[in-house]
This record gives sequence, structure tokens and C-alpha cells, in this order.
Amino acid sequence: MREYKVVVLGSGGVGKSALTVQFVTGTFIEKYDPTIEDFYRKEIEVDSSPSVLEILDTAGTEQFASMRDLYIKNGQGFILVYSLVNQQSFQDIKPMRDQIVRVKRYEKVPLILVGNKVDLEPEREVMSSEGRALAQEWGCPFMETSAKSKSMVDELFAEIVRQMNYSSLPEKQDQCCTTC
Amino acid sequence: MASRSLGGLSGSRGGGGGGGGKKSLSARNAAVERRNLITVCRFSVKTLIDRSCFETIDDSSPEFNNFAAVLEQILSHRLKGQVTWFGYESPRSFWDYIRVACRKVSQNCICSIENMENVSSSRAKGRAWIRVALMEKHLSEYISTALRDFKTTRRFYEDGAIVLGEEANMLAGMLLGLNAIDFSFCLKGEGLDGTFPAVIDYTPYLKFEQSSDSISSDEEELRTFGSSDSESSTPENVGPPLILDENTWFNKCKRVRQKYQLTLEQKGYLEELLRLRENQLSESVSQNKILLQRIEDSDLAHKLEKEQLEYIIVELQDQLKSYQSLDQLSAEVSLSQASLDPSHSQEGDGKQDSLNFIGEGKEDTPSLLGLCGSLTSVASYKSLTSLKSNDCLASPTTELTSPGLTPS
Repeated sequence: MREYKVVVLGSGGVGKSALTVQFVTGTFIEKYDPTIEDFYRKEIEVDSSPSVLEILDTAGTEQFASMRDLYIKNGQGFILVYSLVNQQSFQDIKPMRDQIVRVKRYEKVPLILVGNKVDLEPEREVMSSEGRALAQEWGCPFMETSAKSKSMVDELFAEIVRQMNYSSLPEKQDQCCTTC
Repeated sequence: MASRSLGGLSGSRGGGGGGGGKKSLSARNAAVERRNLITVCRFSVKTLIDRSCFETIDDSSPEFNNFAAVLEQILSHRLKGQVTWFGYESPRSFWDYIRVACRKVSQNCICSIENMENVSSSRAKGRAWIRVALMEKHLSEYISTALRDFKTTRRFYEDGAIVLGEEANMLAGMLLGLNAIDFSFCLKGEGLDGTFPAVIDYTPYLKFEQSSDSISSDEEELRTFGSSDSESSTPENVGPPLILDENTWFNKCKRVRQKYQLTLEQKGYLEELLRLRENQLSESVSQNKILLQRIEDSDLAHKLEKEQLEYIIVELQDQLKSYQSLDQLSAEVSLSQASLDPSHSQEGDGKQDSLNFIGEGKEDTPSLLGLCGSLTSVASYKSLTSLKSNDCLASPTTELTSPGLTPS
């Protein structure tokens, strides 16, 4: 059974923990409690193949930003989350991808761009076209989810597994090490 | 010989576990123990990370000491004892496992710890290693390397150990965050001691959660109290009985928010009232200015009017004096006529001279009367005065002429 280390990144309050907990336990966290870090482990079957996901839910607040490099170094796949009702969180997501590329020293890292809180359509601030355009620029999948209504949550984590399978990151990492 | 002893021990344990009920109870206890240690490890790591944002972490940090105790207990969980040649099992420390399993870690501190002179016991060396690994920011790497060495791990730990189970896979990830913290420990002196066992303090992580039904009931009760009693007394009555957990804090937060909202509305009202009063004040001030100006204007007009009236009074007084002068003048004119009559009867020449004088007087009289008619003019008044003077001078001349003629 293959294991995958997934890191969930995004600025504070976009719903990283809610997404992760919805996927792992099937419940929605209503109350906002800033995360320091949380580790989750869950088995899923993707394309008839059983896999184990180790999901690291990170701190979005700037207070714990120094730990982000550590998580990126340790992670294999990355879920970048912004909130559709917060334009600033969409702006904040771009430097995070730059940080991932810098730490991994590889541009085709397994990555998914996620716009969360799709259930709050009346308050939308970020258009789908903006998210899709950014994902296209990065060459990665784009999804709009709702942790509250459990929309596209399982699909999200299944897709990140496919991305990690597809890119065969370990070989690339070996190559990087060889080069270094 | 050694293998036979090991076999014997295994056999005896197997016999001990024969009972079905005992087996299930033992399995539950082991599972609970593992879950407890892993959960408290997560909490202690998060507490450390949170604390490190504000303080330097050193030996005096209670959060660190708790974490060290937790890690020690995890690494000591179901650790096998060492079997001697005589068949006795003596206890071992997790350091014996770590120094073997972590030998391959690049730039490791295993040799340094092993050669420390002030640290003698195996357990003390293990504790020193925890501190050095944290300062090196490699604890996560050491642990993951050790756990990957499955053969060594199986050799040192019994079945059911945390490090052999599913939970171990999360351990390295959990500890990764500690690499972001700057630890500061002193390894000299007598700080490290292997005498006392590691004891975990669970109290910071224990929390009672009120059930949702109970919370709903409390909220209903609060509403009832709110309607029956005054608002100020309600919090005091209800506050103490409620248990201070997250949901209660949530309720308190809600109440505080309501108070804030009320205060905000009051503030808005007071601000609006203030604005109104300020407008009224500015209007009053401007009206006051207008009235003061009006008073000033009235004073000025009054002053001018007074001056005019005074002038008129002075003028009227002058007119009165003028009228008195005219009466005297008319009297003199009568006297002069009486004096002219005797001279006419005595001499003809004298009469002619007298007649000329009288004629001249008559010619002046109409102009004088005209001048007197326009008394309102000051200039005419002055000319009247000068003419009066001339008349006074003329009278003595007439008298002198009469006596002169008589002697001749």
C-alpha cells in the first residue's frame, strides 16, 4: 500500500482544516479555531488502487510562517486553498506556490489549486475564470469546493493522489539530489 | 542456549495469554495506552510550538519537560529487556535502541552522547540525546530513520509497541514542526539525571465539554431569566453555576457581543444628540452676534439723534435771544422819530438832514424785516447783529447835532 504525504496550504481562515476534517471524518467544523498544525491519516482507494494519505494541515496565520519551508520539504503533494469570498486569500496563494518551487527546486510539483466556500456564492469575490487562469498558468488542476456541503472534497483528495502518481516525484527528487 | 531461553519466555507468555476475555481486555488496554500517548504527544508538540513564539525554550520550560517525558514514554513503550546468559531479563533504556538504529543518520551525535562523561546511565544518555537532537533540529530525521530500520525495531520492541504500529507513521511528521524552534539546553553539570522516571502532566490538555443538550437547556434558562429579572442581575445569577468550557465561553462571547451592540447603538444615539446640540449652539451663537450688532447699531443711531436734538435746542435758544433784540430795536426806532419832530419845527436845513437820515432808515427797515423773517439761517442772524451795532452808533450822532444848532 503506497503512502502519500499531502500538505494543505493557504492563508488564515480559508477553510483548510474544514476541508481536511470533512475528508477524514465526514464532519464540518463550524467554529473557527486557528490551526497550529494537525496531522491526519486516512486510507482511500483511487482508481482501484488502495493508498494511504498522510495529510498535514498547516497554520495559515503569519505567526507560524517559518515552519512552512519544513512542511514543503517534507511533503510530496500540495493543496493550495483560497477562499472564493476573500480576494486577499487568492492574492496570498501565489507566493506560496513560488515558495514550493523554490524549496523543491522543481516546477512540476504535484499541486492542486482549490477555491473553497463555493456554498457562499452570493458573497463571491473571486471569479472561477480567475482561478482557472491561474491554474492553467501553473499547469495544475483547479477545483472549487465546499467543506460545508461536502462538494468536490473526496474528488480533491483523489485528484492529488493521481497527480502524485503521475509526476513520479521520488525519481525527480533523486535526480535533484544527484545533481546537487 | 540463549535461543532456548528466549523460546521458554515466549512460551510462558503465551500460556499467560490463554484466556479469551483476558486477551480482549489486554488488547483494549494496549490500544488505549497507544492512543493516549500519541494524542498527548500531539498536544505537547502543539503547545511547544505555540509557546516558542513568545519565549525561549530551555530546561525551565514546563512545556518542554512534558514533551520530553511523553517522547521518552513513547520510545520506552513495550521495550524489550536484555536477556543475559543466565536467562534473566534486565531492563533497558530507549537509548540502547536509538544508538543502534540511528547510527546511519548523517552527522549524527550518537558518538558524542556515548562519550559524555558527566552522563553515566543509559536513560540519562537517552535524555541528553533528545535535547541535542532538538538543538540540532534533527529529531524528526532521527526518529524516521530509526523507524524505517524495521529489523532493529522489531529486535528491541515487543508486539503492540507504538513504534511498531500504525501510529508510528505519524510520529515523524508530528515532530517535524519542532525543527522550527530554537532550543537552548545545558548538558553540563547535574541537570541530566537518569534516576527518576519520566512522568507526564496531563492536566493542561484535559478539558470537560458540556453536551449540546445541556447547553441548549442553559440557553433556554438564560432566556427565561432574561425576561423575568433585570438584565444586570441575570449574568451574576447564572454565571457561577455554568461550567467554563468552550461552549460556555461561546455563550459568554455571544452575550458580550450583544452588550457591545447595545453600547454601540447608545454611542451612536449620543453622538447624534451631540451633533444636534452643536448645531443648536452654533445657531445661538450666530443669533447672539446678530443681536449684539443690532444693539450697537441702535446705540449709534441713538447717539446721533441725541446730538441732533441738542443742536436743535441750542438753535431755539438763539432764536429766543434774537426775538428780544428785535423788541429793543423797535423801541429805539420810536425814540428816534420823537426826537426828529422837535428839530423839524425849529430849523428847515436840520429838518432836511433829519429827513435824509430817516429816509435811509426806512430803506434799511424792509431788508431788516426780511432778514428777521429768515431766522432759521445763522448767517442772517449774524448780519442782524452787525446792523444792530450800526444803529447804536447812529443814535448819539443825532443827539450831538441838535445841541450844535441851538447855540448858533
